[in-house]
Amino acid sequence: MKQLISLRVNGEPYEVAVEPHKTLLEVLRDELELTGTKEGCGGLGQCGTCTVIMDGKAVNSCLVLAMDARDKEVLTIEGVATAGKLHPIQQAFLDYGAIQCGFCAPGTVLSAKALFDKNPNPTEDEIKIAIAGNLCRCTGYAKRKKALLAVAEQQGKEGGR
Amino acid sequence: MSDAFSVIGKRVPRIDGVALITGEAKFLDDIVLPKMLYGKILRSSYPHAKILNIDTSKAEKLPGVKAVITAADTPKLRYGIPQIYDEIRDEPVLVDDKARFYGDRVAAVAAVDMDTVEEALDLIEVDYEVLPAVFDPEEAMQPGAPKIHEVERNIAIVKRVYAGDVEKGFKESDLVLEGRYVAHAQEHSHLEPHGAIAATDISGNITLWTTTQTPFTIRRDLVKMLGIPLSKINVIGTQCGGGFGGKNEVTVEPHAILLALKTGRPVKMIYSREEEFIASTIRHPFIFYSKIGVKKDGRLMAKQGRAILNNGAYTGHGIAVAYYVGAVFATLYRIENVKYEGYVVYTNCTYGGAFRGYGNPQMTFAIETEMDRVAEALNMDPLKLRLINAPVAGERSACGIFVGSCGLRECIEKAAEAVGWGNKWKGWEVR
Repeated sequence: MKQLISLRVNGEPYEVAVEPHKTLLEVLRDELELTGTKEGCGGLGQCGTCTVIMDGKAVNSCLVLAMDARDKEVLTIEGVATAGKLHPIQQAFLDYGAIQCGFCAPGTVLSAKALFDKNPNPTEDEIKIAIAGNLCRCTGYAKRKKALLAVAEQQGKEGGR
Repeated sequence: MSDAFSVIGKRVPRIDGVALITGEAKFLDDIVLPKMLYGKILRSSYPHAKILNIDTSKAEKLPGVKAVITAADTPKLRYGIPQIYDEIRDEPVLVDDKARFYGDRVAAVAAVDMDTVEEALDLIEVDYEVLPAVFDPEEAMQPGAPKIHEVERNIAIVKRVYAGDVEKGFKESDLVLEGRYVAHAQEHSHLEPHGAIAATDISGNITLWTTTQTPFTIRRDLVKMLGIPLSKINVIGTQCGGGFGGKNEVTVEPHAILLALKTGRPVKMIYSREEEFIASTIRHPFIFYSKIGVKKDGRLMAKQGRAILNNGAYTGHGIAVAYYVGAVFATLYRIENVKYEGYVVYTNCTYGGAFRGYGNPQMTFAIETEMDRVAEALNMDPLKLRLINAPVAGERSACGIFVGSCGLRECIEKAAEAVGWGNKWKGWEVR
């Protein structure tokens, strides 16, 4: 039996009829057609490709029931670049070659963004912990870290944002 | 040099970078076609079992199920890597006689959603006659071992490299060492699973979207396994979410095509992560028996090796991997007298395929371990032993490979300098 829920995604209000066992990931991909959020491990919360930010916190959307996203504010990769301009994290990923196949990139960017939103000048350890849940098999870990350290340095200079 | 060119030596933005980093890039699972169905394969519950009967009637009656296929719906052709090696074609689209590994393809279902597909798979009744299974390739080569295909001692093929005179080389050696090296299986685990969408039109033209790394190869493979003319199949390789060789393989493509032809509707099939581990190809597990002869001054005189590759249930790229193992063995390090035999042996394991290096990592592990053992036996700096025997550009290796360019010496020297090897190496006694 479907139930109607309302939530905000990338600043837009949505009303969606969902079956109670559907996950936030399924609703984002199948109902809202926001396919930048990926599924890699089959809903086990192990790979991190489905990471979105929900009420300021990075979550595996495959482990969040859509019902639990009711009245929440969700940010997906489609909402990270604004007015055609890449977010500094996205730009740094491109500049430092931190994407290869790109399947893990959206989730990793959101994990990093959740950190930077709270802490504009994080340490290397804080960066590593923030993206530890986002697996990459093209072995892009070192370049990701470099890219995010560059963002941290830039934002540190600007005195935070 | 970089100033003389506008592109060479410059950092160039990735052509698909912005699409990937904004989530705009379309991977296979991001494509949805009108009236599209979803499909999945029913897999064998036993590593080795005769299929006595498959009853699909209950599954077919389930509301939402649009098609169930078994071997009876396939042309029963076998495939391998046809354009390279025609001698080994052992893989069926769906098994018609017996399952040869846990997860072998028994049937496939297309339905309106994945929940219905999963329910239908549970309703297919398969009568198995369980057969004895063998998982170790050395056991599989023994007389009386369970026979997986109609070949002697489960040996799919033997690849050989013979050059020079190894017996003479061993006689002229000051030291002869023997060893056994074992390397395990490995799964690619690309984050995007294997998948395909097949769509057909009224004239029987097939459009196939697939996660493949090799669209043209897969197109030729599909022709061989389905008996469909090449002109009828258009293959579109979608944005590839990691492959590492694993997406050289045929997975759900033929099943998606057969289900689409049967239903007249597009069919999407994507491997679950569990299927990735059970049923997609792996790096061949490897056993290597080695004998090496050297002079006191470190020159390699003779190398003899026998590789036993755990092929698993089907051959796939096994022949090519066995060849490359031999090519690496006969090229690194420089050697004139070499004798190599690579046995590709069937077992009831998940089967091997292409995987970053194609046998090179297994062989390199064995060679480098052996070079350290030789250096220790000669009481020689292992770095020096490698520099003495490193091939250089312009040479032709024992297996006939021309070394057109080679920076191995420079690489070893620079790496030694970078890690301060000269200060670190204090001899074998004070390791």
